[in-house]
Amino acid sequence: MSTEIIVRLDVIMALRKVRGRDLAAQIGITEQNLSLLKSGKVKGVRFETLARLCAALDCQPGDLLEAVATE
Amino acid sequence: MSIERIARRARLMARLIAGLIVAIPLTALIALGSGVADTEALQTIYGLSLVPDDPGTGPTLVWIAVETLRLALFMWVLWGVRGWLVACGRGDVFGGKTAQHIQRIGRRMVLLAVAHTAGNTVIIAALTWNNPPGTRSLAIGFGSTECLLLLAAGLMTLFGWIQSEAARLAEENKGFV
Repeated sequence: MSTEIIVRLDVIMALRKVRGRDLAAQIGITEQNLSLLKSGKVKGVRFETLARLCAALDCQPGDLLEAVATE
Repeated sequence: MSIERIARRARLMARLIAGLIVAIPLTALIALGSGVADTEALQTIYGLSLVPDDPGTGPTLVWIAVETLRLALFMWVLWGVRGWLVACGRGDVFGGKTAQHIQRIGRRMVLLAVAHTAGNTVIIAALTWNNPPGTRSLAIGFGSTECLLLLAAGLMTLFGWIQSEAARLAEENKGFV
C-alpha cells in the first residue's frame, strides 16, 4: 500500500470563488502551470508557491494537499 | 549576457569555424603542393642530425600520413566545436544535447593530444628508419603544446559533465511549480 498526494486546489478555488486567471496573476505563475497544479500533473510545489497560494486563498497547506492511501 | 546575445555570437562563431574547416585543409594542400614536405623542411622541424639528406619515399609518406591524421583529428575537434556553437545558436545553450557536444569536444581533444605526442615518435622513427645502425632514433616528447592540449581537453570534458548535470537539474526543476 502506498500514499498519494492529492491536490485540492480546485475545491478551495471553488469555495473562494476565485478564477484561475486571477489566482495565477496574483501568485505570479502562468495559467498553464496553475492548471497543471490543479490536475496534480507536477513533480512538486515550491514552498514559495504554496505560501502564496495559502495567502491568496486564505487557507493552510493542509487544505490544498491531502494524503490518500492507494493500493 | 542574454541568451539571445549568446545565440547571436554563437551563430557568428559557427560560421567562422565552418570557414576554418574549409580553409585549413585547403591551405595544407596548397602548402604540400608547393613543396613544403621536402627534406630541408623535415630537417628543420625534426633536427638536422636525425633526418638524413634523403629519407626515402616511405618515411616521407609516413610523415605526410601522420600529419594528415593529426589534421583530420583537428578538423574533427573543430567540427565538434561547430556543432556546439550551432546548438547554442538555436538558443539551446543549457540543454542536455549541448552538454554532450562539449563532452564530445573534450574527448576528441584528448585523442588529438595523444596523436600529437605519438605522431612525433612515429615520424622520427620513420625518418631515421633507413639510417645506419646506431643512428636510428625513437623519441617520445611531451612539451608545453601537448600539456596545454591535455589541460584544455580535461577542462572541456569537466565543463561538459557540469553542463550535463545542470541540464538534468533544470529538466527536473521544470516539473516544479
